[in-house]
Amino acid sequence: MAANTWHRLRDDRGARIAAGVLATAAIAATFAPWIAPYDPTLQPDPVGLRLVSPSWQHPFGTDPFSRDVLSRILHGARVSLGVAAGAMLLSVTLGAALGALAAVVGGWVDGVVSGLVDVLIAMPRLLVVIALVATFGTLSPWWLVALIGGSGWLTTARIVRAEFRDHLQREYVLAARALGASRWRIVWHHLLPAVAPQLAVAAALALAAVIPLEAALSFVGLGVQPPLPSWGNILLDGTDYLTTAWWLVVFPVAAVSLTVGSALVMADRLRVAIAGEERDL
Amino acid sequence: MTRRLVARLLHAAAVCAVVATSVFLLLHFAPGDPFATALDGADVPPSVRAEWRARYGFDQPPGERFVRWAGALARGELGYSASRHRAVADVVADAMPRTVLLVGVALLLGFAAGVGIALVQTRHHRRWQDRFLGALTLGGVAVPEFLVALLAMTWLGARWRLFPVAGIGGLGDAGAWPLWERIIDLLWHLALPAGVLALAVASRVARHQRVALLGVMREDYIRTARAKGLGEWDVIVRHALPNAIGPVIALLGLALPSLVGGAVLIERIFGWPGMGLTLFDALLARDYPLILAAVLLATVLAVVARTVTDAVAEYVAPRRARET
Repeated sequence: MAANTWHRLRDDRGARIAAGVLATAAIAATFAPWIAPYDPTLQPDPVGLRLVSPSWQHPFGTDPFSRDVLSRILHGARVSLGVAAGAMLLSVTLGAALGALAAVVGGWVDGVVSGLVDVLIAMPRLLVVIALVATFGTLSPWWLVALIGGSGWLTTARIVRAEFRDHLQREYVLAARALGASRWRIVWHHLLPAVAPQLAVAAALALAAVIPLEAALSFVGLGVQPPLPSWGNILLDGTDYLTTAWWLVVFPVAAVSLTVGSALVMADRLRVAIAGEERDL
Repeated sequence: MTRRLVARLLHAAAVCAVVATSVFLLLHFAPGDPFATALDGADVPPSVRAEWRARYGFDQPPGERFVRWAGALARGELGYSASRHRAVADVVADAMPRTVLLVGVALLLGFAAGVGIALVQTRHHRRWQDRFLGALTLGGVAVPEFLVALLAMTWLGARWRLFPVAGIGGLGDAGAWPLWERIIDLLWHLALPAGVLALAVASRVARHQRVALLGVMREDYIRTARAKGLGEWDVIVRHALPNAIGPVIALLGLALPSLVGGAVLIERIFGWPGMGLTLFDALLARDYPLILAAVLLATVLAVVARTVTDAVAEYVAPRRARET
């Protein structure tokens, strides 16, 4: 079943484009120091090169401190996508572990996890993270990963719990148990591979949720701190020059939107591939 | 129905209790207090510091402070805001209606527009209208609200000067204006923030509603309706929509917490003086009672709105509600 899903996904044009965009972003982030034309924190001439509009020397223009915006966006991808990828991995791992635990152990463990999910999911995540970050003061990117990732496991836990409970009823699990497989062997060798496509959907959705979250936090000055560039704080630098320097707003917005949009398309197409239904539905 | 309602209300109360407790704990373990900037200088004698902290109960153990705070909360007292020199209840009474207005208008507008878009897409399934609107709604989902807000502020506000970029009303003595002029002025200021939020709601609603409608369109009773000679619009609006709208309303309820979170940012960007802007000001001033009240009430707003959408979803699609 899983193999069919991946085949259908490979033949899907939307999924290929989305994967291409995400791969490009990942490559740009990884190799930013070699691709970027300038040092992202270098302020060569804060008077003469201040807020230069896009040109051949500076394809995305320069910011109020004469720094090259293209270089800052490439290095910002490193920070923004790094935090996003870390937070996504953390939240999906945490969600999968707790969801699996609730489904397999059941009883009061299930009650605690499900109850926690029910209560926490009603709270605005952005508010929670803002309150956390604001009380602890300015944080390092690692702490951002922990806070953003730690607040995002709810949906994954819910999905994994439901899928596990469904699969636990099936005959192949019964057969495995009859052959003497232990509970955790069944989880590791049978259930986890079976829900891998749904986990991939959860991961894509988590990625689409955490990229704007980091951008929003950095934009209000609570996230990644200067001089370290992130897509959010490049925007923050641009807010005072909205009417004069459009390039400070448009390029970071495009970067965030393209990656978020690709992650969403990916989740969407994956779901279609899992359902095995016709493409347009 | 009553049982479900009671369960929902209990759930809402549990959420609020958890939020209240965790916010209190958080602020207790955080460094600094409202007097840190004013009193902790070298020239302030320790006795004066202690006296001021004692006057506002900061010398008490945290357990006792929590009990006192929770007790006061139960009586509807939210404390005193040191940064605004007013009772927190008064600050909230000013700010809350503005946030409710912003979120409410955005929700209604966005929901109506989203359902409308999905209807057009279903009517012209797989034709250019469907693809074009589908691309638009994908954009609306992919671009985070606060980025749309910045773009709208730059072009519609600052460059073309079609709308005010910030605030809630014109300058000057508002009391001297006739009522209808004040209302128009308020709506004019509301246009950008509410429009941006409505766009986000509409995109999400449209994407879910389209899938729900297309799913229903395969049912036998749709074929029956067509067979008896109904026009395609009548079939979609009168037969497909009533059966496809319930789950979308329920989904909207699930998305409400993130809508309230988005509204917080939108308020800050457009200087809309609601709960979100209050929260940011309070955070900067380390005004504990106000932070607690803002986070708590924003969550309460999300929970209340979700309870309402759940009730509406149940009313619209009673069959589905009974099944679950």
